[in-house]
Amino acid sequence: MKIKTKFMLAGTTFCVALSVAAVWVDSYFLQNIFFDQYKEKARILLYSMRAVRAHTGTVIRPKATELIGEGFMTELQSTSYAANGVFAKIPEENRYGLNFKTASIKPRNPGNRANEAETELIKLLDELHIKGKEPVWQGFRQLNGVENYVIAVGEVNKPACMQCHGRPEEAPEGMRKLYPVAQDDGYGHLPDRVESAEIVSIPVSAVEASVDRLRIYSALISIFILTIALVGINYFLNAIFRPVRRVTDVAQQIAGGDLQGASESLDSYSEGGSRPSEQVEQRKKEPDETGKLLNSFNIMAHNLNSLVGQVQNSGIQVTTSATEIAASARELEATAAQQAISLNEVSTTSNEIFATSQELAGTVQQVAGMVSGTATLAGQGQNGLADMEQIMRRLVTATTTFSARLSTINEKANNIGSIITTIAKVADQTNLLSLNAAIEAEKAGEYGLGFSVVAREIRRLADQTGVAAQDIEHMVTAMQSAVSAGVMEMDKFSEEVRRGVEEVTGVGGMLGQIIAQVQDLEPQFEAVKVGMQAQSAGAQQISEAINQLSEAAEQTRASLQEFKDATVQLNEAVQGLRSEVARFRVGGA
Amino acid sequence: MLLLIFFVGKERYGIDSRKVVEVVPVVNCKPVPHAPSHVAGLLSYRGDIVPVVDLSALIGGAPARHLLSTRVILVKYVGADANEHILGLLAERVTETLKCREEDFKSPGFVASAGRYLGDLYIDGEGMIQRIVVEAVLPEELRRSLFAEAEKVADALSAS
Amino acid sequence: MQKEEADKVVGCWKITGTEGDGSCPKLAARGHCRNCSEYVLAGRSLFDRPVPAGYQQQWTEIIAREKKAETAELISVIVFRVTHEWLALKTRYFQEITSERVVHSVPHRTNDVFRGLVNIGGELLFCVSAAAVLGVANEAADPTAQQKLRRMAVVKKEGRRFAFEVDEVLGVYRVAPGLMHKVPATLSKSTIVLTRGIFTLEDKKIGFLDEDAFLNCLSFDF
Repeated sequence: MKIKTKFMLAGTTFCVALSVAAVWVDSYFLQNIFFDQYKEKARILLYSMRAVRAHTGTVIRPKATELIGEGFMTELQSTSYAANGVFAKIPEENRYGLNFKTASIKPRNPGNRANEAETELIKLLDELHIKGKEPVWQGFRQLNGVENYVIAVGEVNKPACMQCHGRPEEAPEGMRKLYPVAQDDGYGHLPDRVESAEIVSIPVSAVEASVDRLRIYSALISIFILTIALVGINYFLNAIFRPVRRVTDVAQQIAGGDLQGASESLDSYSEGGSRPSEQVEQRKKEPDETGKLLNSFNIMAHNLNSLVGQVQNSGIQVTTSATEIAASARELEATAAQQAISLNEVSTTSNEIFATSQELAGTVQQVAGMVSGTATLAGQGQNGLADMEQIMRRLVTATTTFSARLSTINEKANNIGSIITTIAKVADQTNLLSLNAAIEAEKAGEYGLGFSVVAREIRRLADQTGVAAQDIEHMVTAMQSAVSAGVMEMDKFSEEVRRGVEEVTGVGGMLGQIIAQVQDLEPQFEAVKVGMQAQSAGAQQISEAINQLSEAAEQTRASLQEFKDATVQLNEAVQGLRSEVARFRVGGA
Repeated sequence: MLLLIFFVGKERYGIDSRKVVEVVPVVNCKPVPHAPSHVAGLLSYRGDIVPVVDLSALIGGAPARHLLSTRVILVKYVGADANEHILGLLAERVTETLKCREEDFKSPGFVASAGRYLGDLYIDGEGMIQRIVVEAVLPEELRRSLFAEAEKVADALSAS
Repeated sequence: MQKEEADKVVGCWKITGTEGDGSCPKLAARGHCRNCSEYVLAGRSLFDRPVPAGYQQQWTEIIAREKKAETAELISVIVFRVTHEWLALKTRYFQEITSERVVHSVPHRTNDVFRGLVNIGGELLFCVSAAAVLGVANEAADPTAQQKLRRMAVVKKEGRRFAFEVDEVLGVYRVAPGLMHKVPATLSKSTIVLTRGIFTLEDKKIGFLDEDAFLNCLSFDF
């Protein structure tokens, strides 16, 4: 299949590339050819129209002039009118998109008035004529906003023309009647100049539309051919690859172990009816490489099928027996293990009972020892506390006495305060006395001088008394506050001591209770200890019996284990064989 | 001359000692009804009835505190009637005298009409001392009414 | 008020003054803290306390009482003792009585009467032995027992000041001239010359000195 896909991809790519190239080259050449054709058509149209005008100017107009005389008939005498009339008579479908116009910058017929682009073109032709070249121009040019291919020939003003288009007064009478000078632009042409031209134009888009149409046709043809080619390739490849694919399928089935599927496939290929079997039959008639290969495969598949069927049957029987044995052994082992676990649990429990009761017995012994120690210590503590209580009671008495003495000191200090007041009174009177003395001395004049000195000295003495008295006062105040603080501290201290005595008494009482209780406890401890030891001995005996039982059970379990291992090994061998053979799917065995 | 010093608040004032009869401790005074607040009352001095002016109240606006050093300064007072009376001046911290020369006093420059009793200034190392003009302590009208009251009380005493 | 008192608990005189390290700059000029206004104010602040109960009433009564008229007849004298002899001199001649001072002897000039020079309040005065002038010198003198009572008296006569030592000063007394008695002949000659009369005070016989004679004697020797 993969090879076929590759072939298909390569063929398709090649064909598509070829078609695209062919279409591209075709369109390039077609475009050029088309343009050349159109240019040719334009040229033919232009020169045909010029021929019409020349014929009108040289043949018809002189005859008409002879017949009409001074009058003027446009239909007979105007060359441009004739040319425009002829072009109008060409059917639309035969014009091939071409336009014709006799454009003029000074037209008599308003329909001929040159537009902006045409005026420019006329000026270009005029310049060519002045330079002495032929007034012809062809090429691509914008006309009315559309890209056109244009071919133009300038009309040089000849004397024949000037008769009607030159100065109005020289124009024929009929002409002036028909086209009054004031309303007409056709007069005033300059001699030997180009002021009008015949212009043929075709829009480029019209040409391109034709080319595009042609391109589409060529592309459609390419696609059609390509499709036919691909169908052909596919058919051819199928014919080659189908037999190869079938042989591959059968080989894959055998490899996967599906011997039944492989022989069915081979049979279906060799039986008649369908188209593929016809092909196989054709191959049998005239055997080629694929036919021989199919036959060999067929024989090999039948042989393998019968062999594998026999092996599978034997394996199933062995496996069934081994499984039954293993199940029995597992049951037996489970029973033994259950027994061992039960024995173990009993043994552990009795061991724990033994250890715990041993520990408890020890602990009880220790507690009993500690309790009797505590009783001794408590007895000693009680004695100490009694002594302490005695000492504290004496301390309370001492502090009370001390407080009383401090209070006495405080009273005395208060007395000193009142003495200070007396001193202040006396000192103040001394000061007053000295003032009066000084005043008297001043009044005594000369005699009082000495006295005034004495008065001053007295005042000084009073001042010293004042300072001393205040010193004492400060000291007393300091002492009083110190004493007050002392009294307070003493009160606090004696309160604490009193509380201490109470607490000590309380603790002593509690210790007495503890001693009594502890002494009651001792015989009870002894009873507990004996019970514990009895329990411990019983537990130990149970433990020993269980240990013996446990050993027997362990031996049974070991023998069973060996037997189980053997069946497991057998089973494993059979399973290995079966899994190998199971890969083959056998039919009809 | 000798100045008797007293205090009003922290300020020192002085009285010429020649005007002073005697200095006595603070004593009980009999109040005078309807008198201004700086009139402390009347006191009995060696048989005379003497009106007492509270200098602390007069100068400082607050009545004198009754301390040991608060004293009554008894001064000779010659009023507009040319009679000599005794007037009591109650003052705080009367404990010191100061020797000074008359020519060292300086005029304060500005005198409020209500403070005519405040006289010259004396400057020592501690600051300024203002002298009290004893005659100007009592305005004429108050003087008359006070001494009339004093005589009334004295008559009542002698009658009883 | 409370805080101020707390600040004054330790006065500056106890820190930088005479009772402290003596570093106060004002000390040099004032000599002693007693002369400083700080000290004086501190002492006087004792009087800035409320009047004690009853004090004001007591004084109200004292000043209400009439003063006793003083009789001009009485003579004011100061009574003093030289050795065992009690003497009196009119008070107005005394300048001052101070504590006992050191007497600086003057070479070649010092004798029984002129004792030397003594410093009284920064002034050097002649010091005379009153005992020698009165002629009672060194009789039964017991200097150790009476040391405490000895004083230096300063007197003034016609502008001149002298000092003399006395063994004891009894005080100032006012004596009525009518109580004076004639001087008995038993007294020493010089004492008779210098004494105007005798009066009794507290069981003591006291010789009233003739001020002119006594003071002249003191100054006569120079």
